[in-house]
Amino acid sequence: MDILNDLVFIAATLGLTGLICALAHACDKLGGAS
Amino acid sequence: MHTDALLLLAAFMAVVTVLAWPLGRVLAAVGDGKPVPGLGWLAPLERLCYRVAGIDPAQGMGWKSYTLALMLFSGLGALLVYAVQRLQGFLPFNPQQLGAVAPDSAFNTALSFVTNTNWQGYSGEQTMSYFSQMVALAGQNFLSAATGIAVVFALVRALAARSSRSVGNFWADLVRSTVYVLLPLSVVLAVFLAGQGVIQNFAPYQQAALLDPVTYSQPKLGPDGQPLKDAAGNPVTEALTATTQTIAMGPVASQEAIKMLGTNGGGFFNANSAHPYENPTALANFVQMVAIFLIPAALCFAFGRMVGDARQGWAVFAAMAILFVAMTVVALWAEGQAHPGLQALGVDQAASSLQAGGNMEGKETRFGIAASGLFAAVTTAASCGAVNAMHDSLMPLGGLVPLALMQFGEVVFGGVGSGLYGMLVFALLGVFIAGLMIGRTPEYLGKKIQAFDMKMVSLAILVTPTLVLAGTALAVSSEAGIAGIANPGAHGFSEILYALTSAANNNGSAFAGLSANTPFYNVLLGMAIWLGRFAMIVPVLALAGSLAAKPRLATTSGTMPTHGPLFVTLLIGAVLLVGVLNYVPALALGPVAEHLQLFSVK
Repeated sequence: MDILNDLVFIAATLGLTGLICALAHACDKLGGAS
Repeated sequence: MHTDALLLLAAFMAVVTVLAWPLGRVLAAVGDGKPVPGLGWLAPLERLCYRVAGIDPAQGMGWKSYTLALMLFSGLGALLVYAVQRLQGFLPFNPQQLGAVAPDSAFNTALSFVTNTNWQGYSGEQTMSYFSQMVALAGQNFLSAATGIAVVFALVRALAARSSRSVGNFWADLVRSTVYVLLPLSVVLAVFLAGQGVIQNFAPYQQAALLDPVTYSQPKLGPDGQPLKDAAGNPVTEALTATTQTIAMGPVASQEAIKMLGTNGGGFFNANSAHPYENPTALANFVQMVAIFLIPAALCFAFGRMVGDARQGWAVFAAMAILFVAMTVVALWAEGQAHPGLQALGVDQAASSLQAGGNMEGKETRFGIAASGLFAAVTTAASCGAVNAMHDSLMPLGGLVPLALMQFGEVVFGGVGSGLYGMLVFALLGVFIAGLMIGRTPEYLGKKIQAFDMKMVSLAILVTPTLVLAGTALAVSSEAGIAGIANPGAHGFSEILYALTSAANNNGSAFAGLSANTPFYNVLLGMAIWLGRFAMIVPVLALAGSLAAKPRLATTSGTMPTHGPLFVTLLIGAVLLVGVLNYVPALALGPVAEHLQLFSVK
């Protein structure tokens, strides 16, 4: 059960990191800052 | 308000200013990649870091590469902190044989320390082994602070640059900030604090026999761990007698130093800087407050040097100082008031040779009203989050001050790096508003502020209010959120608002009174912490990329000066305007409503 929890929270951390990278990509697409 | 409170505030600001000025020179050299005056002997350590990590510090990065490096570093850091907490039972330096931290708490703590928030849902001495404290938490105290400094260096270099595609090298900024600023200052402060009585050892916790056994009552828990209630719904209590006290030990001084200097704030002990082993004397308390403001204040002066005009740094410093002093005076005045509820019971709350006078609930008698009120303002103006008094016990308007200081976006000195880059975002907003008013294209330090820049400014400014207000709304409208409240009504609302405000603005201080170590709050606050840090850093770095690429225009007679009183007023106005527009309704439901209720007591 704890291993499952660990996997969920590790995935959440990676997902949140990916979300920020996606935001950076979206900001770049807005243009002007490359 | 007593004169001693104002004298303490004046002495504090004077010492911060005097120490920050020379440190600004060091920070400017660090940010510009130049030899650091007086610290050249640390250059071999810097080179060793590059060699071990395979870094070419001279290689410039565009803003996207800089952001990706930062996110890679932070994401891996979070996973490492999570792993250490979950595996601490198998790791060394664990004399109390503490087991693995619960997964939701470990998740929250990992995100919290990597983002320089240091919100703590757990009790340090009951949860974390010495290894976890030293390697995972104190390690991130250094690295998260260095990350904040790196981001502000990128933005300041962009303002100083002339048509550059690079905003600097993230790894070099990280290494240089750590080696030349955070490490030396921490060593000096740790030795000083140890001299004052802060402990530094690896001993197991001590058992002391009480001279007088203490009998107390506590809620009786059922098999499910929840408090039992009788037929009338009142909690069932049981009487217990304590004959011994466990005294927690640990390597505190080394963690305490960077906790303050890095505006981290995560205490070794649950009581944080109210604990005598973290903050033993009035002098240690004063020095800890100075340490919190030291680097954020010095970065203002470094900014002036790096853009080639020291007056620019003074202007930003002045705006921060004016906001801070004004808010602190309100807090000191509010805490100096007698509590009307106690007054109605005839309790003597007047200042005398036996007591500080005013609201002493939740305060250390060692520090009294002035040093506690000032500490509360300092720790929330800077995004530190250490506490030497319980903010839940502040008077309603005294509690409003820390809330508002955080809600301004942690730009009143703010976190190391994050305070200055936040304030520079407000500076761009200020010149944009001024440009609209006088019909000119807004400029800051010779850089034209255009549509893309304002989109990034808007994004950076709106991220945290969105997280705070949406998160608070979610918590107060859900059963899991309401279950954590200790005090119903306006004060309970303030407890939730404070938690979300502290998390999303990366402060980390707790109002207390809110049971936040639950899966609901650990996940909600963890997400607010992460997005509040990095969803703001991304537009700031995008802004840096945009500004770096622009030419730096020469100053003309039509250029609005950004170093005088007019600009300082404009900057303060921009911070206040955004803060008021975002948060007044929420503050009215919390501390303002509580103040009106409290002072209606007859």
